Amino acid sequence: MEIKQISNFQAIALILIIVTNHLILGTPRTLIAETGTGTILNMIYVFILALLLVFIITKLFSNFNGKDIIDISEFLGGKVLKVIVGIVFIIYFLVILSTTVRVIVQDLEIIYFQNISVYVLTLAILASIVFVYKYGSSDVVKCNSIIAPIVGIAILIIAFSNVQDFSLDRIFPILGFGAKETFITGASNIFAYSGLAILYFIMPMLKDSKNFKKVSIVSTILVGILIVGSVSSLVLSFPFIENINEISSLYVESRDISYWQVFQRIDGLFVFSWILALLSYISVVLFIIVVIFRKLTNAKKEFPVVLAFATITYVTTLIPNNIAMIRFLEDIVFKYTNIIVAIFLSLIILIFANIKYKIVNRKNTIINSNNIENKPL
Amino acid sequence: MNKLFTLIKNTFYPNNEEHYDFILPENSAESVESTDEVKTDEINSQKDPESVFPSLSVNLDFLKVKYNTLINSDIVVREFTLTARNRQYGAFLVYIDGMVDTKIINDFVLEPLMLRNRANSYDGNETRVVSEAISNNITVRKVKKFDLVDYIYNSLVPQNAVKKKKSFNDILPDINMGNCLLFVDTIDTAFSIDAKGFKQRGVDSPKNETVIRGAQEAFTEAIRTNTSMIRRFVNNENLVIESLSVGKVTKTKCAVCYMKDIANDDLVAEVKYRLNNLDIDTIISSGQLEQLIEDNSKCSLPQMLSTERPDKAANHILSGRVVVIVNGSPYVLIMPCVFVDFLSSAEDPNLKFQYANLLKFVRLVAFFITLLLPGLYVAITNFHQEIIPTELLFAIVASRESVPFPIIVEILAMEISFELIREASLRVPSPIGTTIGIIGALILGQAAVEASIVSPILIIIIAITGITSFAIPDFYLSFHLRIARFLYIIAGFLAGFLGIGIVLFGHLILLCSLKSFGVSYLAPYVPATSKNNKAYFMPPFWSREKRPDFLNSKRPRKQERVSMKWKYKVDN
Repeated sequence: MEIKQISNFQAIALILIIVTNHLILGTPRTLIAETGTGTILNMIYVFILALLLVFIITKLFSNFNGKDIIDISEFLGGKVLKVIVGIVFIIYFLVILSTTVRVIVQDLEIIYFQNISVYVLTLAILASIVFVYKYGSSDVVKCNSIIAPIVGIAILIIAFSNVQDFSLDRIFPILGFGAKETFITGASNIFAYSGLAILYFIMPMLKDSKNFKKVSIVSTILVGILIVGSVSSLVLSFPFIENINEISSLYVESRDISYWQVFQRIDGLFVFSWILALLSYISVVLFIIVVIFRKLTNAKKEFPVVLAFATITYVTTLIPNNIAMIRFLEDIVFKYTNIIVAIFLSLIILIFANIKYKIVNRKNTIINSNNIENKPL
Repeated sequence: MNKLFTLIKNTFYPNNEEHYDFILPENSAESVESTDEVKTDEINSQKDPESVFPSLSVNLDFLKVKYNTLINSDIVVREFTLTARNRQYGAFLVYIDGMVDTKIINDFVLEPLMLRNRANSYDGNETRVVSEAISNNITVRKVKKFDLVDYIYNSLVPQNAVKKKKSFNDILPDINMGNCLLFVDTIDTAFSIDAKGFKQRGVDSPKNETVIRGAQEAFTEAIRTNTSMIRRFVNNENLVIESLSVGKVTKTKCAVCYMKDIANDDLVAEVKYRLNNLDIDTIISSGQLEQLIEDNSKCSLPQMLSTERPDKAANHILSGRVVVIVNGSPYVLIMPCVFVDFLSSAEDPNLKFQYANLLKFVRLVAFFITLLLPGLYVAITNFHQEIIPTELLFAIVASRESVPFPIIVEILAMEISFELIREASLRVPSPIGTTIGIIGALILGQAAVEASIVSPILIIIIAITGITSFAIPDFYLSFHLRIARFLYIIAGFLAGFLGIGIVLFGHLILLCSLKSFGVSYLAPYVPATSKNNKAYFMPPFWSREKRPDFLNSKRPRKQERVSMKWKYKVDN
């Protein structure tokens, strides 16, 4: 995809699709397991933290207009750091992609396709993505801008369709496992905002890079609404112990929804939107991987790169051989990879790059002023 | 005994009677290549003489050969003697019988040329004095020499549309189009006289795009009639109708119509570029042209609107689009077009916005039902039974109890039968078509249910799908949905909602990738353009202030912010 093509709405949709997919899967369960009945409070707190973080990121990016994290790392540490950071981010995206695909496929197998092997299901999904990539990545981004809002709205509908089952008693004790767990260790729940990692790469693709701040803030608010809404609904609807035992809490919640006598259980429809979200999610993450890879290698053609990474994803998706391992990937690897790569590593690079920028700028200013002073009158 | 004898005779002495068995001989590769070259040369008229000869006999011989007058029965060559300024010149007319009005030729071509009259009986050698002046007893006269070409053109052919032609490349298409060509000895110019008089269908009411409140006239096969209808609707001098011809053999006349002060120049240039760069022998209809100039010719989705309604064409021209008319086709092409255009009817602009939006909503529902209902039925009954109420599920199961086939066989058989009925009723004469519909839909359906070949609920599904497909205003979009529906059925059978989701995702990507003359197919939604009032649902007429912004027209605004000034006063 050529740069300077993505509109603000499409950029926000890219972030939304990542978060919605994680919400559909185990993220709410991991969040609730961390903070118990204090999850709602924790989510509001984490939302404020995420907003602050995004504000800091936009500030740190302000000196690097039109650049992404790969360009900034090149500025900071030359080509070596650029390649290292690029590879780290490719691995990061591959890990979250493989984990997500495996979890969804495993859930689909449990719910509907007991007789079909995970190998076949994964292959069908990834093959369809590779097939649609023949049209080009710009169309994937466009298509995502249709699917992401639909899925986001579907999640909110599911979250609030069980409003009659909400019980305020379930949020007590309000601090869950305690103030420390809610506000100190609970801060690690910021991994739920991992979709915002897209922000590190989106600036050069925006039609107008001046809108980066607007895109960042709006997407954080929308992501916050989705996370707080869906998690609150789960906490209010079910005892927290039930939430942490289910494969996909939102799916279970959707099974309880019935609209009069017409739709007695709408979980099938939820799965339908969920599948669309999954396909869009895979194509978007592959799109970001391709963008990074092409930046590192100057690869001209897009399709072979997509094919190669889809194959890698297929192989890595099939590595876990039991549900316990998948749970481990989902709860621990996914969470801490997000925190380490998407938050700490990127922030450190940005902070050091800004320091270097100021030093270089200061040096340039001194040289310039010396030149002016030394000039013969 | 005789029979036995005949049998033995036929077996051992086969009949030597010759059987007529014609086989088209194949050309060898070399001869095919050489023939192609010759044909291309002939088509391009490279061997033809470029200019008209001054010698009448040479022109006559050339045209006789060119038109194979010895075997062609409808080519008429009328030789006669032309009188001009009391002199006689050999001349001939050439035209195609049936394409010209013989009365016009007799009364307004042959008569003035052949009959001696006072006007052309004086001495031909005289020169005409244009002006005369006397200075110093010397008379200075400005004279004009006699010019036969001008004389014939100005004085002898009392016709409103006469053109001088010097090249055979211009002359031949004129003859083919129904003009009468006059050749005169000693001059290297021919006269193309418009004497067209072929029979053509008159302006009729629209057959396929009927409306209640709109105009009741439709395009015809004649290009000039069609352009005149558009002119009458647009009624503005900025309407440009450019003519060009497509096809090396047929040289089919096409007209590109647009508003000079509204349509985007690049759009007009692109349309003309595509039309001018078609290396093709023949074009007979707008449907053929459409396939040659659309952006993605492999995709079954329509990328241009075709309409038989001049008011619809005029509406689109006024919104900044380009219309292409093909001679001989009663459907014109409108470009560029976006997806929502194919779900809009010609009636919509004439209705109050509430009625139009209700109809648009119904069509949108019809679109999704046509596309997805059979696939969803298969997916739900095979994989997601929990989604429907238990009572309905029991009813479906009970109705399928005696059906021996799996659902996929049942639904594919019924879908194919429905397509057969539809195709058969279209191809037979209209009175029988109704009968086929009744037999197909009622009797066969009833019999199939009673014979337990299909379940009654499936008949309902197929019938609803069929009816909704008729609610899609665009014929080509309806075709696309009919094809795509089979994909959704198979996907739903293979993997339930997962399969349908995968196909739908691919379908969405396809829609996102399509463009119509540089305009995104899903505009104004994807990519989301700025707020405009040419989205799917219509605002009230008074607030349709802007033209669709994806057209980037020269005049984005089509009415003032307050159009009803009689009601709302605006302070300047």
